[in-house]
Amino acid sequence: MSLTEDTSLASSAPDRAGPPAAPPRKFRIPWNAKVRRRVLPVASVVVFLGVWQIFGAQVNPILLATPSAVATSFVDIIGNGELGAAFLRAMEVLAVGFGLSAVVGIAVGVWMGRRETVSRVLNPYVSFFQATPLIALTPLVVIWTGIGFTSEVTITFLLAVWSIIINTAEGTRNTPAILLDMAKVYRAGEWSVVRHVAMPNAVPYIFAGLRIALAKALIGVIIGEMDISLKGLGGLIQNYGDSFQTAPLLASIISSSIVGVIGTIVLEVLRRKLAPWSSNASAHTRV
Amino acid sequence: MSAPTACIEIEHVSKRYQRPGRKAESFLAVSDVHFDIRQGEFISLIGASGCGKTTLLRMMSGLIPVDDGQIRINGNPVQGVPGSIGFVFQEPALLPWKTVRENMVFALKAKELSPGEVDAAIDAKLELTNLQDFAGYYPSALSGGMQQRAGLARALACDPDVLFMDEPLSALDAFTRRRLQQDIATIIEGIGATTVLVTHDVDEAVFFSDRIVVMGTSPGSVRDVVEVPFPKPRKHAELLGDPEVAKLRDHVLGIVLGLH
Repeated sequence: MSLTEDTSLASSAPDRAGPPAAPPRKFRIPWNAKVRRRVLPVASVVVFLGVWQIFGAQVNPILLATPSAVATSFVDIIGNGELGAAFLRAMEVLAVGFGLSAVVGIAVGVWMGRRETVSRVLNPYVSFFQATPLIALTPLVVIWTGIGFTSEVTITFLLAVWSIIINTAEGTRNTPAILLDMAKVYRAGEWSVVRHVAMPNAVPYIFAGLRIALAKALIGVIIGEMDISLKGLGGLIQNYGDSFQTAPLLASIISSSIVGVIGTIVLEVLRRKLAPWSSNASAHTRV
Repeated sequence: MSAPTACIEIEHVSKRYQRPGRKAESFLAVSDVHFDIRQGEFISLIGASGCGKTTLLRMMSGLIPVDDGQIRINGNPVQGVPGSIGFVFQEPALLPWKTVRENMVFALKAKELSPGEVDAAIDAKLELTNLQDFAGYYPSALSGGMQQRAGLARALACDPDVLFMDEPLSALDAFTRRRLQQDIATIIEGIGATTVLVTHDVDEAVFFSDRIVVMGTSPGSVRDVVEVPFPKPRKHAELLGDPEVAKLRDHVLGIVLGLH
């Protein structure tokens, strides 16, 4: 691109009394910032897939399927409807479990951030559960709630909620004292302080917590489906793994990361809609 | 009684702060302060840092309670923030997620006005502070001086009897500060609110005040109250070369520094 632009500029230069025409150059890769930013990531992935393809063709397909085999499996399991149904089910568990943890986590977090007593009472539990690998609770959750959707939502909720509580409480506590004074001077009630001062202040923290929680919730969804119902994406992964079908197994794993990517995009869209001021760029363009 | 009535009565007020970690020791921030502020008067509290001037202002506005004594505004003891005050903070203290207008709406919420009354009150004060074209701006898009103007517009929107200002101009550059001083003086003379200003700038105190309350440190207490006799409205340009003004300024500075 930039090479052709260069030559056209050079050929038109002698007509004007401008800079002298550049001497003819040999072709060189234009190693500028734009090329580095756009081309390098793509080149990296292409090289990686190429090496994988060549290497994968040499080994037993049970150990490692080639990218082309994975792509073929993708088409197969999309075509027979298997992937679509599994994908939707995983999304459902994620939406309900993560959605509940967001609602409960933000509410409890704001309460802890605004009331020191509440924070002191709840902190031991929040710290304990945040540090515990709660996936170990799966058998107990199954004993309590049975096999199926409810127990998987519960696991997802239990994994996700603590990060949201901790970050929301931190963001609420960090409300600048001068803004709280201001609210006091204009005699704002507690609900008004929460809604107009403390919660907006906590928004960047809340979304940081939600992003961490989303990754944990997705683990809950997939492990839950693998361990409990054998449905959804986790079910596909478990079943294809058990039957040594490496190509559709990898296709299912990649699908689960697509669930995570979609969740992250939804969060970002929400943040921009709900809190345009929380990124500097949009705060300045909103005038 | 033809004499101007007292608007704010400060009666033998003291405030102690507990030193963190040392329960037994406490530190006397304000000790036995006693004076009256007349209706419509402009008072400046001036003094070195640590003299308790901001603490006194916060007690007058009801943000913090007094330990001893009593403060009355229009005859009513101050317990919590009274409804009839406006407050301009050291920083603009605007909510970054709200536009200038929305910030003013937030301040008017507790008044329970109708939407029409809210809009009218806000429009009037935006015009008074020359911000009518900036109502839809977020604070981050405004300069420091404009943000402080918005803070003032918000304080005025409540139609306060008493206006408290805590070093509102100290973060601004010298030129912006002078322009804003002139504008604020004109606005306050227009609405006639009783005003208490905390400042560490003697020129600013002389420019604005009817009386300057000079405070001293450890413990924070009133050293002297200085009358500023120059007629209002005042103009910076007129005060600049006036030997009487210079004399008064040096006198106040002398008290602040403990030379008199």
